[in-house]
Order: sequence, then C-alpha cells, then structure tokens
Amino acid sequence: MSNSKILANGVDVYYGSKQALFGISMDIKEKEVTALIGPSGCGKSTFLRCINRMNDLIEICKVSGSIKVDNEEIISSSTDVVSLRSKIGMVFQKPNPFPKSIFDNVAYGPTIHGLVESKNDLEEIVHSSLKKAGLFNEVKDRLNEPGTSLSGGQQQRLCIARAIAVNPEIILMDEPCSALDPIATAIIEELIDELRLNYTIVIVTHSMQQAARVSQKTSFFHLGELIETGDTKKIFTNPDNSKTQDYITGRFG
Amino acid sequence: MEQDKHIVKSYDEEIKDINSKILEMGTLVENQLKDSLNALKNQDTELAEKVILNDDLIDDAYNKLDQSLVEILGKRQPMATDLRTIFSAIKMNKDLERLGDHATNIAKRAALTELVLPEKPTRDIIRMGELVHKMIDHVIKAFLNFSDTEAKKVWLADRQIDEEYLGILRQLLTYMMEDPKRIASCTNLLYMVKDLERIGDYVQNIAEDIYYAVSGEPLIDTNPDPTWEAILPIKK
Amino acid sequence: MNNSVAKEKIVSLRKKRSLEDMRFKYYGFTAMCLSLAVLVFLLYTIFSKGYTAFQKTIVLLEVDYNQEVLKLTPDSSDEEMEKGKFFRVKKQAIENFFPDLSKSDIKLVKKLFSINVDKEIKDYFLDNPEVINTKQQIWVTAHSDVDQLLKGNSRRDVPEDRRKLNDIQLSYVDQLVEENRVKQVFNNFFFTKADSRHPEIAGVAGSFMGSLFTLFTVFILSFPIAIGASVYLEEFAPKNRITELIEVNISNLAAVPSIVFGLLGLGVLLNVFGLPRSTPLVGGSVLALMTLPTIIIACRASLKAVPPSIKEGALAVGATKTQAVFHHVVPLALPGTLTGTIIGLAQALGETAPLIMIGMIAFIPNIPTGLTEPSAALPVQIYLWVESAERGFQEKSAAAIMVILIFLFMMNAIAVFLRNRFERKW
Repeated sequence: MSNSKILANGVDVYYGSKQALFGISMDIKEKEVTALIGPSGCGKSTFLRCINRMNDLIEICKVSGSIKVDNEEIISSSTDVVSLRSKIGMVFQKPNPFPKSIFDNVAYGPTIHGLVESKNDLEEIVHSSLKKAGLFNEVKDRLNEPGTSLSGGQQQRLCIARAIAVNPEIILMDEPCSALDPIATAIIEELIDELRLNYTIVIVTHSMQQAARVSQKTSFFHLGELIETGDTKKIFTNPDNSKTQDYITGRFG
Repeated sequence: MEQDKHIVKSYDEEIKDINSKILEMGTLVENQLKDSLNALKNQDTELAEKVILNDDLIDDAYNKLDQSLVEILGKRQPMATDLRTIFSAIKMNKDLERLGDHATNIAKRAALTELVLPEKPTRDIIRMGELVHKMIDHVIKAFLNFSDTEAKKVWLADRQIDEEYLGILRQLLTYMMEDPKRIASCTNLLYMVKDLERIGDYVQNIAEDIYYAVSGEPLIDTNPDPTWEAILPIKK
Repeated sequence: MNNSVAKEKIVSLRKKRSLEDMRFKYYGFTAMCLSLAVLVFLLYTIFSKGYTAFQKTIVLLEVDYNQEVLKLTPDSSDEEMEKGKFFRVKKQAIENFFPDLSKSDIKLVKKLFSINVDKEIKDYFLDNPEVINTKQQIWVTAHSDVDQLLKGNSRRDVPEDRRKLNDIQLSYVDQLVEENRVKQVFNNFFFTKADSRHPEIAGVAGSFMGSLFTLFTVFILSFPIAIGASVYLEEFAPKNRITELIEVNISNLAAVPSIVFGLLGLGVLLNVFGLPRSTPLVGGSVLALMTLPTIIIACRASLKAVPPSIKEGALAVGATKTQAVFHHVVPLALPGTLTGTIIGLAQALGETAPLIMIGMIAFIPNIPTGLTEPSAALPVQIYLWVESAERGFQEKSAAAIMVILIFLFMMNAIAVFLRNRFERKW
C-alpha cells in the first residue's frame, strides 16, 4: 500500500471573480502515475499548476483550501516556493528548452540550487539525467549544440531530463505529448513507465487511451469539479458515474 | 441496446450495424435448430438437406460480423460500456457460429432415415430441443433489451437442459444395454442429444456475455457441474 | 434568370477589385519613387557640394634652409632646432617665389599661402634635419581663397572689389597653373585637424572625437539605467497607479523637445553641480536623458516579446524570479534592446540644440582626448561652418554632413549585424 504523497482538500481556485475549481479533494499516492482527464476548460491543468504553485504567476488567480505535500501544507504564505519547485518538477505541453546548449539546459537547475561542488559532479548529473530521460545516446556527441536544434520529441525528453536533474520527488506533466507525433509519444509513454518506479507522476492528458496506458489512477474533472477518481482499470471498463462514462465513450465533449 | 448518442454519428451507425448482424445470426441459428428438430420429427430428408446447405449462410454471416468487429475495435478504441459490448459481441459471434454447427449436425443425423429410432427417446429429444429453442429465443430477447436480468434467467435455465440431457443419456444407455440391435440408432440419438446439450452451453455462454456487457460483472457459476456429478459414481 | 444576373455582378465586382488592387500598387510604387527621388536629390546635392572638400590645393615652394638664416648648425640639438628662425626662411622663400617682386607684390603673394605654411616648413626640416643648407622644393598648403578659386567656387567675372583675390593675384595664380606649380591632392587635413579660423586647414577630427566621447557617455549612462528600469517595470513593479504613472511619463519623456533637456543641463548640471562646460561628459549626460525613453521603450517591447514559456520553464526548475529574468529573459531581449539602443544613439548623434545650450558651440581648435575636456560635436560643427562667412567653409560643411551620414549608416549597419548575430530561435 503506497503512501499519500499529495493530499488535496477542498481546493478552490478563482480567476478574478470566476471560479475555476470547486472544492477539489484528492489523494495522490507516491510512486504511481495519476492521470487527470476531462474536457477542455474543466480545470485539470489549473489543479496541476496548484501543486507547484505555478498559478502564482497569474495575478488574478486566487487559490484557497489545502494541499499537503508529504504532510506539509503548501498553500500558505510561508511556503518556500523556490524549494517547493525543486522538489516538484514540471513538464509543459509545448516543449520549452532554454535557448542554451543541451548541457546547459540540464545543468541549470543543479547549478542554481547548489547541488554540485565540482565540474565533474555536474557532468555526472547531466549525463545521468539524460540517460534517465532516454536521451543520452542520441545526444552524447553533441552536448554543446543548442537545445532548440533537437526534434520535438527530443526536446520534450530534454525538458524531462532538466526536471529530473534537480532530483525532484514529484513530476507534473501538463499534456506532455499533445505536440508530438505518435512515435515520440510512445517513447515518452515508455519513459513514464520507467520513471514511475522512482517518482510520483501526475499527468494531465486529453487522451483517455493515453491515460489508460500509462496511469494506475485516473481522476475525471468536469466544469471545475472532480467527478470521479479511482483505479484506471475500473474507470475505463466500468466507471461509476454516468458523466465519466459519457466522456470517455465520446458521448459528450 | 442503448449504445447510441455518440457525438460521432457514424459510430452509432456502426454499432447499430453490429447489433443487426448479431440479430440476423441469432435468427438464422434459431431457425436452423427448429428446422433440424422438424426434420427429425417428420423424418424429412429434404428439410434436413436445406439445413445442411444453410450452414454456409451462417459461416458467411460470421465472417462479415467478425470483420466489422475488428474494424470497430481498431477504429474507435472503445471504452467502458462500448468496450464491453464489442468484446461480448466478438464472443457471441463465435458462440453463435458454433451453435449453428451443432444445429446442422442434428440435421445431418436426422437425415439418416434408414435408422429406425426408438420412439420415447426421440420424443424426449424433440421436447428437449424445444426447450433449447426457447432458450435461444429468450437470449435473443435479452440481447435486444440489453437486460442483465433476462440474461441471468437464461443462464440459470441451462441447469434444466443439463438435467434433461442426463435423463435422456441414461435412457439411451438402458435401451442399448437391453437390445444390442438398437445400438446404431441409439448412438445416433446420443450424438444428437449431445449436440443439444452443447447448444445449451453455448446459449449459456451468450447469456454470460450479455450480462457482462450490461453490468460489467462476470457471471460465475458456483454450482457443481451436473455432468461431472453424474460420472463421479461410475469413476469410483 | 437570377443566376446569370448574379454571375455578372460577381464578374464585374471581381474586375473592380483587381483594378483597385492595381491602382493601389501603382500609388505605392509612385510614392516610393518620389521618396527615392527626393533622397537621391538630397544625397546628390550634399555630395556635389561636399566632394571638393576632400581635396586641398598645394603650391610648390622653394625653401632655402640656410643655417645662417635659421641661426642653427648641423650639430644643433633637438631643442635648439625647435627654436630655429623658420619664419625668416619662409619670408625669403616667398620673396623668391616669383622673379622681381616689388614690396607690394610680395604682400600680395604672401596672401596666396596658408597660415599653416610656417608650420609645414618647420615640420619638414624637423623631419629631415639633413636638409640644412640645401634648397628644397616642398609642396605647401595654399590659402583658402586660392583653393576656392581653383575649385571653381568663387567667380572671376565680378568686379575686383567684390573678389577675395585682386587681378594681380589672379594673374599669379594663372601663372602657377601654367607652370604646374600648383595642384590638388587628397585633403588629409579634413580628417586629422580640428576646427580652425582658416578653412584650408579646418577639419572634423575635433568634432568627430567630441561626438564619439559624447556618444560613449550617453551609452554608459543610459544603457544600464534603461535596462534596469525596463526590467523593473516589466517584471517586478506591482500593477498599481504609481507604476502606471511612471509608464505614461516615460512615453511623454520621449516627446519632450530636445532643447528642454539642454536647459536642464545648463541649469542643473552646469550651474548647480558645476560640471565643466562644453565637455562630452555634460553633453553626454543631457543626451542620455533624451535617449533613455527610446531604449526603455525598445527594451520593454523586447522583454514582452520573449515567450513566457521560457520564464515558466526556469521557474519550474526552481529559479527565483530574479534568476529567471536575468538568466533567461534579458539575454533573449538583448538583440531588440541593442537595436533600440543604437537607434537612440544615432538620434543622439544628430542632436544639436541641447549641445548648444551647454556650450559645445564654442570654438575649440584642438582634438579632445578625454571626457572632461572641452570639445565640439559634429552637428554643432556643421552648424558653425554653415553660418560662417568664409566661402571655404561651405564645402566643408557639406563634407561634414557626409561624415555624419556615413557614421549613422555605419551605426545602423552595426545594429542590423548585431540583431542578426544574436537572434536566437526559441
């Protein structure tokens, strides 16, 4: 029985006067992949971004309620957001490598957090992160080339390597494959399968099939509410809620 | 079956098509059984031949439906209720085809009119056949109504068929032991009753498939197998 | 029935539209040709007036470096040589310029030579001290009046009292031409000498260096402040009334007439802080105030153009806001900012009014070597030369305009080069 890594309780999110999330309560276990599914605008990305306080970047966004990571409350003014974000990595929908070399992309995080003392250590971290992200063999001879010279799928893996390099415990993925072709998508899904042995992963996806393939738990969001959450196997063979069923069978968008 | 109201209308059309093909198969095999039993009752070789020829129709229908199911699986990647429905339809298709084969076998045996069949067992077989025929009818209705309760009723009815089968089996064994001249004809009847029993099993399978499609739960048989129960004493 | 009417309508409408299209293209083309014509005309006018400034007139003079006259010996030390009586040597050379010259003639001949000749004779000797006691034929600079006459800028056909050179002098010049004792060569003085009261030895070196130092000051003062202000306003400032007020006023600042900045410089920098007048330091400070808004606006636009995904990526890895901004956003905004900076500098290069207010209009005959030395600036120099009565300065002002234009073109070329070089793909 795995432990609770992220515990959300009654999370409300407002954009100005418009409420985007209504009392979300969820229990995300560690070293598992949890998928958040739902139609566009249902709040799944908003919820994801609450976990690493990325919603702070939006002026009009107000988050209330409780989210505990490893039993520590993170929606409080006393939270050290910078160290929270080194514990929780994020991969975005559109790959966004820094316009620096491949090496520097991965090295940036460990450098600013002071995780390494020598050049050799840094090299080791960069190499091992790239290996874990399944990218090392393809780029080992050209680590000094710009990160933007890679293909879309490779860029996304670079972003994953970048996130891993700071040794997080949780990785948040916001539709990581939506900009990628099927082969690149398959490579990332394979990577997720390997990563979940060591990291807790929360992935937002538009594809029910992808959620079925990669996740152990699935949560269905609709219009800002959490409709159903449970084992992925159950959700895609026999969900409890009719709204969930209607969504995943394509009876409403 | 309430599998409509997809956003993509052609998905609804495809499922309707599958449903109608299953219905077609069901009706075909139902008629095959009825005709086989009539051929047996009336010693009608012409009717028996018709049944034997119609088996091709069933094979055709099976292949067409199989193809449609493969396509819908690949194309639509069905989920939840759609997934269960398609999965059950695949199994039902196979079961109906085998059911049809057994009905044809009965006709083949009924065509052997040179064999003089003992009256009582023959009557019993025809009666058992009518029971099985009714079962098929009910299971088709359960399918049309997409009802798990109706499917469960049919599933339970197989018990009765098994008991009938055991009864006729004992009868025939007694007949054969009494008069060895009857062995040829009784063996013929034996095969026929075995076919009927198998048809009953297939109908039970189909009922299980419908139940799973509707409820998402499998039907598990916790009761002891009567055939095995019957053999056990002999084994000892 | 309806169909054919509708079809006709569609066809006629299509024709109308393509006609409109053609007309618009024609207008655009005409406008472009007109502006090009004006530009070409402008450049041609400047060039045709100014190209003669790149030539100077020199005259062949026989100089007798007699040691008696010089009061030197072949063994004289360097210090002694500096004090040689070269003006005597020159006097003699002029007296012997033409055979049989009367005293009044000599006076007239003297006026054919530039005042710089004394120095040229001396410099020739100092560079080649072995010519002592020999007669040397040296080419020396002619007076501006001769220069302008030979260039065709002054007319011969007006009455004598309306001319710079009288008839006798004219005849002398003609004689020199016949005897090939006068020629025109490249005018290096224009590039190596500072301003002078004598056009033939006036050059842009002083004002060029003055402008360079001024621009340097402008850059040092405005660039860091502008980047700091833009980054603060874009990334860190809270969205309240005060911030809005600041932003509005930056745009207003860009519209303030430059002379106002000049007054500010005069009133505050010179009178209150007592900084030295006419120096690139003060000039640069005043112009920096003017250039700030331009750079800030360019920098802010560049910062806004950086996709937020880069910053988000940095923040998600655990960078602080400052780190994310300075490690990632600012470097990406640099090409646009640099372009804006160079445009601002190019504008500052051409500003005259504020420099006049702070005194860079004074006559400075030396080339400045530092930021706190009094100097002139190119635009002011042009203004002064245009205002001058001497004919010789006319071509010089046109030539100086050419210099400033080339300077501007080069700066813009650097802007384009830098922008292309640092263009990053994200």
